[in-house]
Amino acid sequence: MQKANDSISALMDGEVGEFELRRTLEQIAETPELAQQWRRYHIARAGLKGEAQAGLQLDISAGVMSALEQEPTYHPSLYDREPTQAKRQKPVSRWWRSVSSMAVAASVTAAVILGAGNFADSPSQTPNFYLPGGSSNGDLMRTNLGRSATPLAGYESPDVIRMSDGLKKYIDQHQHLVAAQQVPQWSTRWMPEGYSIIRHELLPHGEVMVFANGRDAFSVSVEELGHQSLPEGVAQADGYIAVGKRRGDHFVTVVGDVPLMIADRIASAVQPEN
Amino acid sequence: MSNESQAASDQVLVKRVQAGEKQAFDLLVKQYQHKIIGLIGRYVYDPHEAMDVAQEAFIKAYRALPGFRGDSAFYTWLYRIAINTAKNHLVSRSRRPPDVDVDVDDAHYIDTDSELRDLESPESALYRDELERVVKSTLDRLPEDLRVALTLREFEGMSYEDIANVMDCPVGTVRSRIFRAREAIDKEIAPLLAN
Repeated sequence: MQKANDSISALMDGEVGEFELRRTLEQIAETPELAQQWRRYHIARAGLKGEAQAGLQLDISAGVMSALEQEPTYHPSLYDREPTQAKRQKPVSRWWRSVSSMAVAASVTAAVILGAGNFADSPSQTPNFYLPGGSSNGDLMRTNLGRSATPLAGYESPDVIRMSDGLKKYIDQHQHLVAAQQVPQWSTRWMPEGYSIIRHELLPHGEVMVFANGRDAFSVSVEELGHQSLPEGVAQADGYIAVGKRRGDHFVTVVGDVPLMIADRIASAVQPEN
Repeated sequence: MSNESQAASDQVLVKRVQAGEKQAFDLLVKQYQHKIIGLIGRYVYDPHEAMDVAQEAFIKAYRALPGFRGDSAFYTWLYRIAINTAKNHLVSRSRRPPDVDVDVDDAHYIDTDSELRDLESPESALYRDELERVVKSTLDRLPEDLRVALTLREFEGMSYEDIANVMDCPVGTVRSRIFRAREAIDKEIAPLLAN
């Protein structure tokens, strides 16, 4: 308790490190008296400076925090494979498609920003990962709802029922998704409160997840590095923050209209499913 | 404490809230609630109503926090939310908001005879004066090393490192002295606040 009080005092002065801050917040969560100590320290500070306000005995924090309990809360278990797969198969509204398309497009931007220095024109240096929307790769086209698909090689129309290109496209997508090797391999163990996954694209050499909170969205791309050497780093373009991080032989890119530290934490939280 | 140090302290808590730790927001509420209630009280005269509006302002701030990028100090940002919440509250009650706003830097010192009223009652003023008297008299009675360390911190806004240089002692000692000074003051004011 004494040590925790000491940390609270230092926290008031902005003199604690990241580790101590986290530990102190944990202790405050476990010991409500510490939060009251924090409150009294601030009242004393105001009193010292002759800035004390009326109603010092009032404390609305319990009411505020109680109300905030109703706010959407992040649960690490949110990214549960079965429910997510079920979610993915639900019809997606035009609005969501618009938002997620924007985020995915931003992801492409990020790949360009972060990897531009490494991608020359020669075919040997072409990155071996693919993102939706910017490629004519046949495998990729099959994963995109609502886009015209390249006719499958060897495909013949049935004798009785002539299937539309649209239906054929969905069947192709279905086959792509249910293939044994095409289950999601990556997820993020943390995301900002209020966000949930709205899209999870499985690509031949990676995955793209899109998260949204109804107003803002961010995308997480995980790609095999192969022989490429992508630089880790941060970039900003068109109002988007892009953070790139290595994960073993994969490269994680987070793009969105979110604060840098949020994007960085998301990128750090991306992990293989197993 | 300098505004810069205060902003830095707030910023670390804001980052924790943005990282999903609601507990950090509780600390920000406890830290600023009296200033915000006092500010809103200049628009909304009924104290209970002012508390409700203050609570609403904090909830709005929490919801808007993911978009807070630190371009301004947290309190400046919170202050604007509080002012807007108070004005919207008055409009929703078919009352006209005052034409004059409280400037964020003048919120403590505004003349109570101005168009914006203060919700402070005589009893509340006495209580506040008593608390300030206890705090200052406790500071005066502290051992010199504790008093100097806390004074340099609170009134000069010096960092622990700078205080260590001035007092010619390790930074850890400065931290300990400031903490012990605060503990001594807290011991005196805790009964007042409990009552």
